[in-house]
Amino acid sequence: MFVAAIAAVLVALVLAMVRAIKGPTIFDRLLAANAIGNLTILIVAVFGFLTGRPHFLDVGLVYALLNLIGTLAVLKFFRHGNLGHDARENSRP
Amino acid sequence: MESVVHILSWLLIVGGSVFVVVGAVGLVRMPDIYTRMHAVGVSDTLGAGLLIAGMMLQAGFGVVSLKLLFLLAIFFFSSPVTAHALAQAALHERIEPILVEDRRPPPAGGPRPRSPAKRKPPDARKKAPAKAAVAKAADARSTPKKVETAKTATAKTGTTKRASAGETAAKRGSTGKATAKKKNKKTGSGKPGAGKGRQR
Repeated sequence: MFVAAIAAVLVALVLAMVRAIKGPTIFDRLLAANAIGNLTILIVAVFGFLTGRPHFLDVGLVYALLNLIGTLAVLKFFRHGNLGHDARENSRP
Repeated sequence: MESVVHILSWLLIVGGSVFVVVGAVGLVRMPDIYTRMHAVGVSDTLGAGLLIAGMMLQAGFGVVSLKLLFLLAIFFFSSPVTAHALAQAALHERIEPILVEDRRPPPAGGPRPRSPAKRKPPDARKKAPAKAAVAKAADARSTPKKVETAKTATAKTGTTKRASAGETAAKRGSTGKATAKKKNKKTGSGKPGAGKGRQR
């Protein structure tokens, strides 16, 4: 049962990788990267159950937080051009 | 009792796997970024949710189940946040969604509704509309030319609602042309400013 789930997630990973490679815009690649991160969390969790060691879930939790922060940071970089505030925003209360 | 829980978790995990694969297929086959985000939402919510619920049933009541619940909560909050930020960034870069009138085959000699240089139609649209385009071309040959011009006039107006209204007007025949033109005049320059007005 867990083997079937891992196979499905692997197929989904390959499809997301296809979109990441040939996505026309940068946002397609970013969306595919986010999807790959989510699928990796799932595969880590399912693999922990498959091998009978659910401690892999901790790795999955940390990876979920990193995935969210990484995606938002890259998006902010492409939106504003940098990762910090500019001078006008800092002078405002 | 044990076997009931086992069968239920089996069903949940298989359902989650199906939804994960469906979302990934949508990620590859959908035509533009916004519809692809819609497809990824399937595998992020229902796929991950069902898989984690099945694993929670397998783990029973305990710390492992609590960790799975945290994982589910992170998915629940991070997926909409990422989708919102991604859509806003894409709109900020002036990537426009593909509307219904863009999917129609372009009229012979007429102007395209929007500039085709901006959006390259991905391969997903190549296969499916090929048959539909042939059918529509055959349809266009049998109908009189006035209907075709009415369609192009309505294609400029911009929103899908008006386009569908234009289709019904086109079905009515030659009178459809007059109403379509009137509508076009009323909306004025709906075509060029549509994308810019949407993003603020």
